[in-house]
Amino acid sequence: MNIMRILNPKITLYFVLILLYSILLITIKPQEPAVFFLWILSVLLIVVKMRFKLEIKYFFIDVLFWLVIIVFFESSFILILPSFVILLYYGKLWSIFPVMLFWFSFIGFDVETLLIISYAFVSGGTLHLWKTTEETAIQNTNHYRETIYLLDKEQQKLLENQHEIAQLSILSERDRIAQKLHDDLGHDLTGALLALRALQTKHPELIKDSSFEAINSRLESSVENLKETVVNTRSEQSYGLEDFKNLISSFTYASIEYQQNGNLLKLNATHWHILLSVLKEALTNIQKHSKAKQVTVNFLVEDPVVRLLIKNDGVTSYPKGTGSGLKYMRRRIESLGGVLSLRKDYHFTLICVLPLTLEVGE
Amino acid sequence: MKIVFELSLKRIMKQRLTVVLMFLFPIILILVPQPEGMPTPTIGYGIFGLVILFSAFLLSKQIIEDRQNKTIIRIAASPMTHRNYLIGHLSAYMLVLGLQILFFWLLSILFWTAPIEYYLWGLPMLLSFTVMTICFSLFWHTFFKTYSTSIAVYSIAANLLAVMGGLSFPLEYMPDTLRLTAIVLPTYWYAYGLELITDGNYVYAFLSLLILLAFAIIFLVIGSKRRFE
Repeated sequence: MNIMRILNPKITLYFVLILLYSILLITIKPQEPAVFFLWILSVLLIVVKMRFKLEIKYFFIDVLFWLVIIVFFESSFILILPSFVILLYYGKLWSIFPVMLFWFSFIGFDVETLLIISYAFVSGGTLHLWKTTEETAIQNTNHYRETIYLLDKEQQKLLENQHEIAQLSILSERDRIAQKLHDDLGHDLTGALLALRALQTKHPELIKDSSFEAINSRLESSVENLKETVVNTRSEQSYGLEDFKNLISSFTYASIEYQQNGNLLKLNATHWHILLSVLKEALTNIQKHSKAKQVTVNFLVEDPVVRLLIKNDGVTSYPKGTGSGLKYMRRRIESLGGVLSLRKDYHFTLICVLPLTLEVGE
Repeated sequence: MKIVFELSLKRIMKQRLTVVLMFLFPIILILVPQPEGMPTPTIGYGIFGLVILFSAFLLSKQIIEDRQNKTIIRIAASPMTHRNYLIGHLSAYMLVLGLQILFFWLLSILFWTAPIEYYLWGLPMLLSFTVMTICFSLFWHTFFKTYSTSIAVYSIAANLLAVMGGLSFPLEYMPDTLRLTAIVLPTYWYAYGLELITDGNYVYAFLSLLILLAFAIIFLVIGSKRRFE
């Protein structure tokens, strides 16, 4: 067994107290039943308090008790010292003054008592310093562990975000291609087919021409193929504005008002991802921590920024210890050159502003 | 608590040899004649203290056996509190030991000669010593994992306690240096209390009794801490 694991301030305190009680036993005249009774009473009081982990105030009661006893039995003064050691151990340094006061008032100076008091003072003080150092070290270790844990969590979230943004980019690119095929190529092919039909009406004899027939059927099948390709290319999964609106319509906790302005085509996948995350976090927090009846979502794209404002009329602040999601969001938004701010007056307002041209992470 | 108490009594009754010996030893002890010139049977009461030391230890073996067999873990998982478990057991031991000391006390009145005050003060002294020994056994068991180790060390320690505490010889023969060490032993205060009763110093005898009870509380407070191993 590792000796350093056994030797901690608390265990050492027990040893110090055992040694102190042994010294006290030698110092007092224990052959007298009354004196020994007081000694064992002192042991009993300390053991009970330490066994049941009683609060420090009970040690003060102890000190008071012994101060009353001292008035009748002066020699019992030193029995106050174990409680004094414990008070010092818990950092109550001022307790030395009443001890000194009573020493000089009732007993008077003598070397023997001075040595015992010095032992009590030095051991109690040293143990207190040891305890404080150890507690600080434990606190620091816990703090570092927490930081590492949070960083790990953040890294994991970033990786997830990266994956989501990549998925969103794929979906938006597929949609853009489908749109392009439909708008440009589809338009041209349909125009060519219509022109061919007009020519056929004007010159019915062309139907018998095999070359004309081949052009016509090729063109018809091209239009059909194009339609099919456009349908297949367009993503079935919702994203972007669609996702945004789905989220708003599924929110039933309070009535929600949605306003939207500006050209949304200027937004890319990263914008959508961030804005969706902010909206999701805000709506979840409203549901969890507020008694809102009315929620307003204002979405504005105005060059050079996009702004999302979420306002509620319920409880207007988050309880302590929550909001780690928002903290993470703020860091992410700021890293992209944006701002996430909270405003608290009669309403609670969350505003997210992102530049249309993102600094990093696009 | 009542269930534990009854169960503990049943378990004690299964230790037939222990129960027989517990009531046989007082009879053997009473047959030893009181030394001439001694006004009170202090030596007999002192040696009976040694019998109590062993009786309490043998009875309290249930507690260490429960720990050894992991029964204590099953009890911890049940709705029963550790406090009730301890009270149930300790009160059962106290009942049996109480009967033993009552038996010895009655025999001592019948067969030994002493002033009536000696017997009247002797009974509370025996009772407080019994309470102390039960708590001491509980305290002792907390330092050991198995009953066999516990009893092996205890058989030496109890004899030392008896000899150093002055149970087996008159305290006046004890050297002063040994007496200085012996005062930390609870057995000393039992023997000393009996001597004080003989001298008629009842105030100090009462203090000795209180010291024994203080020892009992200290042992109980430390020994009552729940341990699973």
